[in-house]
Amino acid sequence: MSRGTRILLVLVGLHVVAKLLLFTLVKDIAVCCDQVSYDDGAKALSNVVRDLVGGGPVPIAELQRNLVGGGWFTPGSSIVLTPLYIVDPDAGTTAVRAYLGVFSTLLLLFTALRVRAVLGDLYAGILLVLPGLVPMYLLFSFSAWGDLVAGLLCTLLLMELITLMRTLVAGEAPTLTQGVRFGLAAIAAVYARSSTSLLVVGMGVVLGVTALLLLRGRVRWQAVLSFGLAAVTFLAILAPWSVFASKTLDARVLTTTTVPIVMANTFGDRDRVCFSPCDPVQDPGSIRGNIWFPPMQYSREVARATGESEVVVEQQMWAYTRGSITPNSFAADVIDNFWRYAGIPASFARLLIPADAEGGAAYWAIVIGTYAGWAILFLVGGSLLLTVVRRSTDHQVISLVTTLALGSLFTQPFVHVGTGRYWTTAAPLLAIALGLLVVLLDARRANPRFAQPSATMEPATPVAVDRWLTVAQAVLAVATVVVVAAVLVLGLT
Amino acid sequence: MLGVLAVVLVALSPSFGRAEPSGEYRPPLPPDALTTGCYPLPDGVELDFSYQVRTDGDVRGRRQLVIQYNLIDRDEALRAVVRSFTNAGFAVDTRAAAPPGDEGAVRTFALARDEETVTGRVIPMDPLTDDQIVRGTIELSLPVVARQSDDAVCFDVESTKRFSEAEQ
Repeated sequence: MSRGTRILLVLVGLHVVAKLLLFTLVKDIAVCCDQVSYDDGAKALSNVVRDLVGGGPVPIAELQRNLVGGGWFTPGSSIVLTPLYIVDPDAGTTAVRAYLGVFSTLLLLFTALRVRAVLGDLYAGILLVLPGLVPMYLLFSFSAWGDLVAGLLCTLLLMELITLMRTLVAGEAPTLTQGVRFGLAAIAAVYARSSTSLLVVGMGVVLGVTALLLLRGRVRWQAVLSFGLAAVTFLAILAPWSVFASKTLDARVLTTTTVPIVMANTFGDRDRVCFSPCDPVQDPGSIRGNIWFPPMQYSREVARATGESEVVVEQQMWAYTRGSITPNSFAADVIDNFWRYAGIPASFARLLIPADAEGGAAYWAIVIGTYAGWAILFLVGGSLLLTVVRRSTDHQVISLVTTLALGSLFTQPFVHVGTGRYWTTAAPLLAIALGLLVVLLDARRANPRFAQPSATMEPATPVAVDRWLTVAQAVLAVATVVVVAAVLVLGLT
Repeated sequence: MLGVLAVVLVALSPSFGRAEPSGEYRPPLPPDALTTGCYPLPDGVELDFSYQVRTDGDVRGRRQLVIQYNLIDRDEALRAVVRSFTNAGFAVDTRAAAPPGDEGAVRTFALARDEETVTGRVIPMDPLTDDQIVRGTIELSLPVVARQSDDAVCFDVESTKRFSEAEQ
């Protein structure tokens, strides 16, 4: 067994021990907030399986109410939980937490294995520490919110992308299996959280453009076939959800319906969201005690009164609200959202530990450990967005696609109120960025410790490819600076 | 091996009972405030156009009911709401303190039936696009009406829209 393998095994052991410790805190915390929706969706799905097996009528209305609801969430988390409710329809809180904890650890380990295979031990090791040992990340891994799972699936997608890019740079055609795998990883990420849609689409575009630029003749057609199969896989799995959600809400729903209401509540004048102020939030602190229910109920009231689709009403609510938005108000809201996205990573602790543990030693260990781990990930890993890597073609490819992935996730504050859990989606991708930066720093030493991941392809790489990769990175870095500067100037003046 | 176990468990799943989703993220829609009989409009008045109640409540001895009208334009909404009252015996209130007039895009009216007086303002949405569903607001000032029943729905502010009273 190599030294790298031994270290990785120790890290896996530490991860499992840390999870077991935190399980003692989270095991009796009932699911709250959006988790209720995922939990309900899983219960309804398990009943569908039951009725399909038993030959009884499928409970469509129950599925529509609990899985689709207002069309707020893609069904990934519900699907993850469904097997538990198939086996134990009355599964209690502890069983749900344990099940989710085991699932997320298996997914993290699978992701680490893929990262190791594609990028090497160092990257896998970093992933297992940051975020793999960050306390809030571990607590979230017992939750039904899909953000953390979506991040790991995005990382798997990134590994597929890097593998495919290497194939393309080497002038070879990707296989059909590679295409299917890419499509599967992409749709899995969108099923977990629709906020990954931009990332997924962006990755697909990068792949397509690269293939068209680098390949010629028969190989190009093989690539088109492979990526076509990726797209078919993606759409074939998305379709059942889109069709069912669209039928339920009597509108065209591709992934979720949330954009209009989210944009209205985030950036619009809240006194106009319901063509007037929406109803006041009832029972703050209850499951429905948040700003998302009054607009949904309002849109349903208008739908009831007019026979129109509530989704269409919601689109018009956003249109009516957005007149109040100015560049300055938008930028100020983006700054606020970004702060909530990146600045309060432990804010969900109180929803995942017992009330009497709040303020105690364990609580502060969670908060401090989370801030420390996240600060390294975000500040150091995030600096890749501003870095132009020139070392080797492979490093450039990793830099470019990781930057693109992070950049597309960081668009979220531009469309959504930030919260202290969205960072769990970006965290494993930041680990890849961190790994790349460590490798690059290490390579400057006289005796680099970490071997080049794939030095074999270097001689075959045309100079033009290197140049384009460098230019693309530079464009992204400049774009990042321009966007950040524009938001800061507009938002703070 | 795992696959076989999974198939067996799925095959047996109907015998394990049923899961019971809460449905809490898709709560039932509370009934329209004017259909429950909790706080009815003056006797015989029925709104025969598409609307939703936004707020209701008593202010300084008058009932202030705010509704939004859908799918029709201001002038049609004005005719429709006035008709709803005149069909129940209301007529133009000649005793109204100030004669109702137009204020910009707003149209006003004053009606009476014996001692019952009603005034209203019809306010189009701004902006207003051709395909907009919710097209304007009608503010009604009505005689106060007592709660007509102790049914639970009459205390559900998400139905009655009497939010300001709930806060007191």
